[in-house]
Amino acid sequence: MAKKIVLLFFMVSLSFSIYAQDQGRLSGNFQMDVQSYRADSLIGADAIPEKMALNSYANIRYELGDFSAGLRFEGYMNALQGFDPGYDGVGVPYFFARYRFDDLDFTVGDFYEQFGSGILLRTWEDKFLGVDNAMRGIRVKYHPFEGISLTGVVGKQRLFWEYGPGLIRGLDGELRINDLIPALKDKQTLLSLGGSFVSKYQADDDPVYILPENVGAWAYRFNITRGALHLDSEYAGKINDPSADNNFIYKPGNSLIVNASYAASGLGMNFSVKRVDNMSFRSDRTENLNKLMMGYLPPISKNYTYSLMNLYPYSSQPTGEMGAQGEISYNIRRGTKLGGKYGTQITLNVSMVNSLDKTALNDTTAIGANGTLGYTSEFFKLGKELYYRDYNVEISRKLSKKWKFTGIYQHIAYNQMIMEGKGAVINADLAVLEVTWRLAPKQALRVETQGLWTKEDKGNWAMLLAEYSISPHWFFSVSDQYNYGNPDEEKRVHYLFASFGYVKNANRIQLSYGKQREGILCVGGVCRNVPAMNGFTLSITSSF
Amino acid sequence: MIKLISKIFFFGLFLSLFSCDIIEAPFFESHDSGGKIQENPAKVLIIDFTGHTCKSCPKAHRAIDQIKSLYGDQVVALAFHLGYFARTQNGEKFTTDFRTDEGSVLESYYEFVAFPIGVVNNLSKQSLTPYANWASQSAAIVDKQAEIAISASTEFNSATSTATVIINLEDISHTGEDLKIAIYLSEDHIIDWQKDEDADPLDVESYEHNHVFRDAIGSIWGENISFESAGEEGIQMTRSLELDNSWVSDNCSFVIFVYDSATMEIVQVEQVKVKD
Repeated sequence: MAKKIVLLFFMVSLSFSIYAQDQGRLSGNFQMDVQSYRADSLIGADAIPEKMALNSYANIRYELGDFSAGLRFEGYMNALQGFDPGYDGVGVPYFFARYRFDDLDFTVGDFYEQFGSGILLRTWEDKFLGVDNAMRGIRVKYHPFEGISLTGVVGKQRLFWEYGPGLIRGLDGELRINDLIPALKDKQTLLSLGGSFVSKYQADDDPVYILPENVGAWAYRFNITRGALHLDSEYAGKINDPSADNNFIYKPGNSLIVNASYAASGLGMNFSVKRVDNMSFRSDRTENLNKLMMGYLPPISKNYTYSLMNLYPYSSQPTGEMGAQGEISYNIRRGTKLGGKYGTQITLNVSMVNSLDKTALNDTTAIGANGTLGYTSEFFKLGKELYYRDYNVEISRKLSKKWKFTGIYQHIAYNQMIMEGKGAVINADLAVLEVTWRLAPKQALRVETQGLWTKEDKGNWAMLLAEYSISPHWFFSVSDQYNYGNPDEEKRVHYLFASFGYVKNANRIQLSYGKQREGILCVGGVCRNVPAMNGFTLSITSSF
Repeated sequence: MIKLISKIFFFGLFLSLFSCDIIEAPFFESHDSGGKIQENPAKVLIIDFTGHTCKSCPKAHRAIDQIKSLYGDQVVALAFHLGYFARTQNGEKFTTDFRTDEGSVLESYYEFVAFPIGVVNNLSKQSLTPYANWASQSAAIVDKQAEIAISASTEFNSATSTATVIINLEDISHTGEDLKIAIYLSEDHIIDWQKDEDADPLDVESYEHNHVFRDAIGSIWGENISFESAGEEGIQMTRSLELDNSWVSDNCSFVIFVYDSATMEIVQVEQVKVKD
């Protein structure tokens, strides 16, 4: 099958090349990650029978005028630890052809699509997370008038090397009011309105429950901007969708997201609220983890790149949560006493997420009991259970042409039982100091010092990282994460890790060796478990 | 022409979007229990991979109860406690170790990503499926005729705590050649700690653990059998197992199943109590 697809792709590309005077453009990229595994009982790392594992990907894309086609090779031989072994194998799971004709835009094959903020439909891929829920089917985009966009999709979602049982039908429309009404074209206030309807079909062959085979969901949204002010919101609803996620309750779901921001010279403010009630939406009602997710609930907590700040990351809870996030960022002007010679950036951020307030249907039915309407919930009432808190302050300042530093203090409360299914609420304080020293015009040394202090879970951590780069080709780094406060003294382990890499044009090679702690890797509120590892890692990326 | 096709596409899509099935209570199917085949019906083996600190796992336990209430003894269940969520803890809770060496073998074989998970009448890695699929997969089997008939009786020696199972296998219509038989011992009604996200409090002290895998006679993968070398009366075999003192023999059963080692498909399963 894969050979036929590749052959077809090159035949189509070749025929277009011959037909057209313009030869078109061929582009692509390649990535390979190899990991060796050594058993290390102290950190809980397992050896694997095949000794090493490999994930690899290659995208090839051809464009000629309004036509484009592409495919992706994937090889998991076998999949890296932490990725679902369902990926094991080699093949071409993604290919498409797309053509634009006047107001119409057709895609056949595999595609990624998002309606609005993605609550109802977001098909996407992230190779680090092992997420790929691409749709295979047909997508048509239509722009009948200026200011109106329609998108229709029909297809099934990818599940490893197969496709899920659910058939997705979706329609999204967006009106850009300022484009639509000539009198508003030059106004300062920009307004757009949007709406989506998504329906999934999955046969009911369950002998226990009477299940809806067609589940419909809808969403409305607006987006308004005036100068430095911005406000957008999306509300989504869904009819009964009993599933493994919600313990087969028949309660309709809904979700509301509101974002407001203000940006002026030196000052930025963001405020977001989110309410999610029984809004897990998959194209297979029986699946779990990141498999066959149709909807995406954006997190309202800050993302960090520092290792210890990702020890307890928040992920959205599609079955129910209420939360808010606020951030103020201020740039103290350069040349002032506080701002220094180059200016100083201060950011305050607060995220708070709790459970929904849920009330039992009656005295004899437990909240969320399967085969019932589940519970009732007041829209504006906050649940008592804490899911997540994050209070942090970040100061970033360039001291001179050679020196720059970033300091962060953070306090978090993390409900480990909700996020990971174990433990309790973890209260932790964290601090980070990052210093960059430009040694010479092409040489820089970056040092990260991180600390995490908690009485719960694995106790206190300290981390030191030093990275030396000689641009544009070389970089070297060594790091040590030390779990010095682990209640189990035998597990007070140093996780030493070293790597170096070489970059030349679009090619990048990196070799690493060391111990990696068990943890959770999250991107955009979607997470995967990363098991502890001890061994070599080789990564190669290239593009053309 | 293309515009016309696209308009038809959007119109068709628009109509299909209105197909919403709103279900009114009661939400449970109502039908008679049991399958339709009276003599030698195919039976279902549901293997549940679980752990006492897995808060979602009781959902799978309850799913098994619901399936058993539909199909009675046509459904046989086994619960392997293994992996991270089966580890014991210091203190008063979750101190009982339900893990077994055989479970460790399966842990390496299946490479679990999440619990609860299980297999229904097939041991292959590709057959791992969430608990919400077990009922529909069972329903697809219970109305079939068994391809192999398993009958079994037991004897129990209280002095030595030794249980013996006498098995007779009859080939009805099976055509495969790579057959194996596996004989496991399971125990019901073990009262111990279990996390349950649907309970309040979360940690349930007197949780009833059923179908708990205790031991296998010989390898976890069983032993080869062949009907070609057997007579018309089929295959007879007798196997014994000494029970651990901590197991309650009255609550123990042998779970016997025959599977095709080429496809890993379970052909038939039978359960018989140690004290018949």
